[in-house]
Amino acid sequence: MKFFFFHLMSWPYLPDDFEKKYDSAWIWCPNTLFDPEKGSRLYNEYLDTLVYAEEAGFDGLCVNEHHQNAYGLMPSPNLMAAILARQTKRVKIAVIGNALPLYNPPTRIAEEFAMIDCISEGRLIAGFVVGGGPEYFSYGVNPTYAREMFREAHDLIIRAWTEPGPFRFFSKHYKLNYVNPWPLPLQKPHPPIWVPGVGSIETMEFVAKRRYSYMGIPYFHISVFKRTFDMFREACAREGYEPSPDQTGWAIPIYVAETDRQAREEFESSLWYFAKKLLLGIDISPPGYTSVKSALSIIKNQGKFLASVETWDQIEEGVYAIVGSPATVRDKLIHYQKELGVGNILTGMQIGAVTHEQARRSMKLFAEEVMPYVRQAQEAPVRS
Amino acid sequence: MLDKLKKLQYGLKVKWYEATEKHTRFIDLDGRKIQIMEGGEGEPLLYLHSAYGENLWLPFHQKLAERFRVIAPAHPGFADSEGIEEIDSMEDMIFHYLDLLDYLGQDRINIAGVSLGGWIAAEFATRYPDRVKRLVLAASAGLWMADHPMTDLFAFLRRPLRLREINFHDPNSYLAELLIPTEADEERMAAAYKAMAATARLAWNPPGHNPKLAGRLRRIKSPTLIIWGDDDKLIPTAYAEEWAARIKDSRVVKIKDCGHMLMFEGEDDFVAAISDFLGRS
Repeated sequence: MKFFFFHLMSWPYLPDDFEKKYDSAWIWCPNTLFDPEKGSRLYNEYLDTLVYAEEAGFDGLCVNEHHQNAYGLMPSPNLMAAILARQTKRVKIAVIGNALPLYNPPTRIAEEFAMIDCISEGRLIAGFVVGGGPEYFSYGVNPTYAREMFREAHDLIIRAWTEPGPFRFFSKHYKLNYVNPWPLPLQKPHPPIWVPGVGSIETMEFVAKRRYSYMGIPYFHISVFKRTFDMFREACAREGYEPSPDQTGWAIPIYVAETDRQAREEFESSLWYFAKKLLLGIDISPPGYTSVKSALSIIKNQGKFLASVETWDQIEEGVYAIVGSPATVRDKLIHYQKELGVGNILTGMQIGAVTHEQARRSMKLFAEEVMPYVRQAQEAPVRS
Repeated sequence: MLDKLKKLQYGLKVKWYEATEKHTRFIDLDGRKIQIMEGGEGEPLLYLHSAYGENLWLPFHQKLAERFRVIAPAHPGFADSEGIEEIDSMEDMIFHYLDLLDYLGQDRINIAGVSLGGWIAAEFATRYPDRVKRLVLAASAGLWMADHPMTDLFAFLRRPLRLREINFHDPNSYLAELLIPTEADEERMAAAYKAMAATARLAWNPPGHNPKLAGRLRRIKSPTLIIWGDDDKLIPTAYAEEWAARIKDSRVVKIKDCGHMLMFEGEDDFVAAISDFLGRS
C-alpha cells in the first residue's frame, strides 16, 4: 500500500458569485482573475506543502498538467517535478501526466522525463495522458487525432528510452529522421508508467497489455470506481495475468481534523468551491475526442460526477471525498481500499480552497493517525 | 398542445425516414461505402451538405428535386458514409469528390454547398474549375475575416439552446427546436456527435477556413451564386460580400429574417434562389 500526495494547485481566489457570472473555469475563464502577486505566494506555498508531504511520511507526490484554467495551475508539471526532484530525497515523484498530443515532437517528453529521473536519482513515475477535452480548445490541437497521437507519441517515447539512438521514427503524425535523446532515464528499462483514466475500455486495454498502472480519475461516485477497477482487472485477465497492487490507484479527496464535525466544518466550503466553481466547464468536450460510444457513456454518467452533486449526504453516500476524524477516515479508507482492491491511494488533501494551514494539520493527522493503520490493515489477512 | 407538437414531430420524422430510405443508395468508392440520396429529374445538381449532416430526404431536397436531379452524398464520416480515416485535410476531401464525380460519370456539374459543403464546393472549384458548371455557395465556411470572426461552433455542442441561437434567426421557433432538440434521443445524439467529429477533422484548426483559399478563388470560372441569411450568427453575413468580391462572375442573394441554417429557416427563398440561378441558360 502506497500513499501519494496529489496536488492540483488550484486557484483558490475565485469570487463568491463566480458561477453566476461565468460559465466555465476553463478555456475562456478570463485570466484577469489571476493575480500574479497572489500566484507567486501560492506556488511557493503549494510547493512547500508538497515538500512537507515527504517529511510527513507519504510515499510519493503527484503533479499533473492542465492549461488555461483555474482548476489546476500546472501547465508544466515537469517544472514542478524538477523542483521537487531537488527539494525531496526519498519520495516518488509521479507526473500524471504529460498530455502527449500537446507536445510536438513528443521527444520533448522523453527528454524532460529523463532529466527528472536523473536529477531525482530514479524516483520518477512517468504518467501519460491524452489530456482533458478543454486542453484541445486551449492548444488548438485537433481532438479527432487525440487517441492516435497519444499512441504514436507513446511508442516514440518508449523507443527513445529503450532503443539505442539515433534511429528513424516515422508515424502518421510524427516524422523524425533522428531520434537520439540525451539524456536517458536512470531507471531501466524506463521509469514506471502510470495512465490515468475515466473508465474507457480502450485505455484499460492499452494499460493492461503493457502492464502499466491504471489510475482512476477522481470525482466520481464510488460505484463508478468499483466498476472501473473490476473492468481493469478483467482487461488484465484477458492478457493472462492478475494485476499487482502497484498497477491500480484510486484518487480521492481526503480531509482529516480532530472530530468529524470539525472536519466537515473546515472542509465543506472548499469541496463546494471545487465542485461548483473549479469543475465548471471541465466537461466541455471537443468533438471526436472520444469514440461515439464513450461520448454517450460520459453523458450518461454525468449524474455520478461530483459537479452534479448537491448535498453533503450525497458526498458521503457516493464517497466523493473522505472527511472526518482520524478514526472515521481510517475506517472508510480501509473499507473502500479493500472493496476496490487498489494498491495506491492518491490523496487529494489540498483541493479547492483548503488553506496552507488546514492542509498541514490535515496531512499531519492523516500521516500519523491514518496511514499506519491502513498499511497495517492491508498487510493483515482479510477478514470476511 | 405539447402532445400535439410531439406527434407532429414524430410524424415528420417518420416521413423523412421513409422518404430517405426511398432515395438512398450506397456505392462502393474504391473500398469505402458512401451513402448517396438521389431524386428528381432534369439537370444534375450535386448538393454538398453542411456540418449539421442533413442526410435525410428533407423538404428542401424534395423541392429542389422538382426542378433538378438532386444528388446528395454524405461526406465521409457523416451518416453511413465511410472513409473518414483517410481524410486528414481539405485536399483529401477534394480527391474524394473527384473520385465520386468520376464514379457518377459527371464531367461538368452544378454544385451547391451549404456551410461546410460550400467550403468543399469552393475548394473543388478552385482546383477543377472546368468540372463545375455553376456554383452555389450558401452561408459558406472557408474564408476568415478578422473583423468578422466565425463563432466557435464546437464550444457549445452540449448546449442546445445556445446552438439554436447561433444557427437560427428565431431560436424559439418550432423548426429550430425540431432540428436541434433540447432533449435528443441516443440515436440522434450519436449521429450529431459523429457529424461534429467529422467536421472537426477539417475545421478545427485553422477554424473553419483555409488561409490559402481566398487567394485561389480567382481560379473559379463558373458563374457563382452566393446565398446568405441576413442574420447569420455563425458565419456573419459580411462574408457574402467577401466571397462576391473574390469570385469574378458572382452575385449575392440575401434571405430576410434568416440565420445560418438557411436551407431550413429560409427554405422557400433558398430553393427559389437556386432554381432561378441554375435555370438560366
